[in-house]
Formats: sequence, structure tokens, C-alpha cells
Amino acid sequence: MSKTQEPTHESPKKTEGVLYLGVDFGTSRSSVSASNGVRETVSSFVGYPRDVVSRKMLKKDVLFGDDALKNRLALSFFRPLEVLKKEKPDKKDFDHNLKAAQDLLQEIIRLAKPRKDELVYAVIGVPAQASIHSKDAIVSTAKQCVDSVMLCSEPFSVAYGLDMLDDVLVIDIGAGTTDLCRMHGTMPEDSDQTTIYHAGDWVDTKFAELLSEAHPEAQFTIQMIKEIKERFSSVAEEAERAVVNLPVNGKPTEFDVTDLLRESCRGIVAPIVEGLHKLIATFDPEFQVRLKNRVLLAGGGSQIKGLDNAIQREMHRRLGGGKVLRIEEPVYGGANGALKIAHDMPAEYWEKLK
Amino acid sequence: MSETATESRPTPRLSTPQMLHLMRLEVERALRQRYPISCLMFGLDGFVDSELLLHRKVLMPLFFQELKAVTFERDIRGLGIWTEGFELAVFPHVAPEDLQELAQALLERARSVRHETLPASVPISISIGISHNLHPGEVSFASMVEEAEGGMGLARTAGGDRIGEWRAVETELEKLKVELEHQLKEIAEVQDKIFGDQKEEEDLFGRNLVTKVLTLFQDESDHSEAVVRLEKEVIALLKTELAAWSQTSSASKLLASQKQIENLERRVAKLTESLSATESALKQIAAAKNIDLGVASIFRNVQGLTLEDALYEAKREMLKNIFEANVALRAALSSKAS
Repeated sequence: MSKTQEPTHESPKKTEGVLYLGVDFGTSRSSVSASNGVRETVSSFVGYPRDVVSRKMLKKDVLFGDDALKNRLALSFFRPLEVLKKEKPDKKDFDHNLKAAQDLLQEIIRLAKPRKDELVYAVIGVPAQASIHSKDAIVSTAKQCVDSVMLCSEPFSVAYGLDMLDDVLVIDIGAGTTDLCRMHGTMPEDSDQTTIYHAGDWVDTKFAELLSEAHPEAQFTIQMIKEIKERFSSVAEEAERAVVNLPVNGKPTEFDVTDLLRESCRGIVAPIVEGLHKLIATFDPEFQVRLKNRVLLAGGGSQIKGLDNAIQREMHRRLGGGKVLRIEEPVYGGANGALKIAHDMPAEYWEKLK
Repeated sequence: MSETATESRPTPRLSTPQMLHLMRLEVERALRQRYPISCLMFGLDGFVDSELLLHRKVLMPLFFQELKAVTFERDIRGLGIWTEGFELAVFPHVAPEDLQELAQALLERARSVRHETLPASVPISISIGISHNLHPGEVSFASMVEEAEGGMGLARTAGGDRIGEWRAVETELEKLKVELEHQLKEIAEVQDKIFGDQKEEEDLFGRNLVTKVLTLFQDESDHSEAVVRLEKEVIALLKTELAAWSQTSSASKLLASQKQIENLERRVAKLTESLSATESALKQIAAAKNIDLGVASIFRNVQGLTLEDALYEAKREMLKNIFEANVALRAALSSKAS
């Protein structure tokens, strides 16, 4: 007697391989590195068409990254990680941004092009001060797209990626915060980490203030400021002149903003060194010198030209010495580290968190 | 005569999202200050085949120029955008009848639009939809655009140089759903009516009969054992007969209504089939967007830390800590949820 075969609608069995994902979920930029060779980065912007016309024009229900930025006037626009990091965000604001963060995470995972017949294991680097609600949302969203997921702190993943686990100080300069993390061969504790708010957004605000003071006639938006910073930012004395066109009464006018931009960028050096000072001073005296000489500079903000030397000089002045190394890939440093953690994680741990 | 020197400056061009933003503000202002505003949407009919699709890029700006020309001729001012799929404009302080006249003029001019790259044998026609705020319903920028789009769709389906008035915004799928709901409601009503009326009638008849029989026995002065037994037997017989009668009566009425029910059920089945076909077509289209199979990983099996790693011990401890931190996080989240 033969059995009647009923059609099944189950997803394909995941027996073809294991895909590891390392995700850096940042305020300004999110990146993914995958064990299938895919590496992608997207600005952490999310936008939803404001109405039916916008949806028809944009032909999408949700836009991400620069695409969202370009069309932001037609969108309800979010920079979700900025709000998720806040200690006491507005409830409505938080809910909207949470949804945006979930959509962004799904997009990042989609960009890694996972196959349906492979097991997908992900390690996501999240801001050290992300709230428990945010972590909950990140885990539950990721679980919809991957088979098992773990969270870890961003600066830690950077150090792990470079195999620098002992007596290292990591400076991870993001958009909203700069995270400083002390590594001493074990998992860093709360006392090993400190967060300061002199980061990318602070530089933008400072630069905008200085520009308004120096050239009150110039018209600009914070987005224009960011673009100028990303192109010309430098703390070095002999840097390329930052000559930009800004409208004055509708007419494009040239401005040399080199000195203003340098002054804004230099503003983050002293607070960073102050943070380093605290972490070094509270470390085992025997290893303080070694720690000072192993400072890693990572994150999008580390792309400011000459910043490593500027921090090093300030360390010499305040701490009597120090050596700063800029990581090779600031954009993918966190994602690469998270990928390495995912790769090294034993199978039983993944199974238990499924 | 003195001359005024003016600086030659190019007019700043707004991007489509910026223009759309202004249009939205214009509609919101009109709704707030309660003056008439009309919306016009039009699109090119056909031109969906791969051979003709490229001509849309050429033709749509030409149509937009024609729209500008007809508005300037009538001294009407508005804001508009064009995309490859449609052109959209809003006209503050313009009544719908004036816009209808403008639309007819636009239709005339559109017929003569040609482009050197387009073969002369290819006919060009456009469909126009208009909406306005001079009606009692709730109005917003989105609803005005939806209504204009609905009108454009209706014009495209109806064809043939006609002007039609259209009120409800209903897509094909929505129409089917509404019709299906209506039919189901009708069946429920018919069934309720049949069973409800029948039951009520039967209950009343039965109650009257039982009352009459009981009264007869109550009036009887003889309360001997034989009479009491007879009373019991009569009531039992009455009960059985009433139940049998009720069944026969319901069956005959049901039989009479059966044909009507069957007709309605056939109609429902047809509509359900049509609805599921439409929905499955929609699902197929949605699925077709994600046909990328992905890129295969270089790993066939789960990896994990190897003993050869120079930092094996330190890493093993750290990975364990990460795992435990995640377990603690999940536990905290689940206890919070419960």
C-alpha cells in the first residue's frame, strides 16, 4: 500500500555548509564580513516612504544607507542606533527606531547573501551601552534571519580580530561615542571599558559652530558638514587645503575651512587621552608601560588623518610615552573581528543558543 | 530710461523628492485654509514591452512640457513631478471643472507628441485621473493622489476618449473581497431567515396545541388513574408527533431554499477561486524579486577553535565568557518577558 505524498512547504534542510557572519552594527555605518567572502557596508540610515506617492516614486517600501539619505525628504527618516543608545529615549521615538534597526539588521544580513540551505551563525558587535531593550530587539530580529546569534562588544571584537588579547588598549571612534577598552587576556569587565561622547557627531557639531562663527553668511546642513569632514578631516599641520563650495544667498561660494576642520577634529584628542589615562592608571603598575605602547585606533573616526600621531603626542605630553597603531581596515575592523569570533566559537555553544 | 542691472543666475532646480515635499505642503496648506486644490495624474498607456519601454524615458518629459504649456496658457500655476511611470501635479485654487478642461486640452496636445526615435506606426495615448478636495469625505495628500491614480486606472481600462466620474477607490482585489464578503453575508442571512422563521412558527404552533390539550385535561373533573394515564399517553404522543411534523416541515422548506443556496455557493466558490488565483499571482511576483540563491560559504562544517592556535587557552576562556554572557542576556530577557 503506497502512501500519498503531500506537498511540503518547509524551508530546505540546512546540510550544505556553515556560513559565519560578523556584523558591526554601528551608529553611523554598519558592516558585515561573511565566510563566503562577501563584505558589505551600509550607512546606518533607514527611511520609509512618507505616503503612497513617495512609495510609487521610489518603488520600495524601505530604503537603506545612502539611498535613504538621498531621498530623505520623501521619507520618514531614521538613524536608529543613535536613539537605541540613549538611556531614556522617548517611548514612541524608541519604537519607531527599533523597527528601523530591525529592518536595517535584516538588510545587512541579506547583503551577506546567505544561502537557504546553509546554517548561518552570526556574531553581532553592538555598542557597549546599548540598552537591554535594544539587545532584545537585535537578538529577536537576527534570529528570524540566522540559525544562531551572539552579541559582543564592539571594541572587544576589534582586538580579537587582530589577535591582540593581552595588554592592549582599543580606541573605537564611532559616530555617537568613542569606546575605550582595556584587554588583559580575559574578557573585559565594566571597569575595563569607558565611553566618551567626543566622537564623529561631536566633531560635526563643533565644526558647524566654528563655521557659523567664522562665516555667518554660509548656508549649510549637518549632512553637508559630514561630507566635508569625511573628505578633508585631518589633525595634521600640513594637510591638503579643505576648500569647499557653500551657498551664500543661493550662490555657490568658495570657503577655505582647513583650519576650522582641524580645530574641530583636534577637539577629540584630549578627552580620548584623558580616558586612556584613567584606564592605564588603574592597571597593574608592572604592565602599564606595555599597555601604553599597545594602543589600537579603530572605528570610522580613526580615518581622520594624523589622528594616531596626535594621540601619541598627547600621550607623551600627559603620560610620558605611548604608541598608537591605526588598524588597517577601520570600516571592517569590527566586522572582521566578529567573524573571527563566530569562526572560533565551539559548535555546542551555537547549538545551545539556537 | 534707466536700466536695472540684474545678476544672471540660473534658477535652482529642485530634485523630485524636494518637489514632492513642496506638493505635500501645498495640499496640507489648502486643507488647513480650506481653499480648493486639485490633483492631476496621468500616464502613458501601454509601452510596457521591452522594445517600447525605453521610449518612456523620452516621452514622459515631453508630456511634462505639454502639461506646463497648457497650464501657462490658462494662467494656472501648480507643482508637478514626472517619473517614468506617471506624472503628477497639484493645482492650488483650481476647481475640478477647470482642471477637467485643462485635462482635455492636455489630451489633445498629447496626441501630437512624437519623437524621432519612436516609429510612426506606434500609437500614443494617455490616461488622466483627477481628484479634488471639494467633497465631504476625508482628504489628505495621499488620498488625493490615490483617487487621481484610481481615476487614471479607470480611464485606462475604459478607454475611448471618455470622461467618467469615479468615487470609490477600489482595486480589483478589494472589489473581489467586498463582493465575496457580501455573498457570504447574504447566505448567512438566508439561512438565518429560513431556520429562524421556521423555528419560531413551529414553537408557537406546538405551544398552543400543548396548552389546549393541558386545558382539556385540567377541565376534566375525573382524576382517576385511567384518566391520568391517558393524559400522560396523550402528552407523549403529542410530543412525538410534533417533533416529526417539525422535521417534515423544515425539510420541505429547506428543499425549496436549497436551489438558492447552491447558486450562491457556486458564486462564492468562483469568487474564492478568483481571489486565490490573484493572491498566488501576487505571491509569485513577490517571490520572483528574491531569486538570488546566495553565495556559498567556504566551510562545510562548524569550525571552532583549534589546538594549534597560539592563543588557544586565552581565546577558549574568552569565547566561554561571551557564550555565558549571551546565555545570561537571554535568561534576563525571558524572565523580563514572563
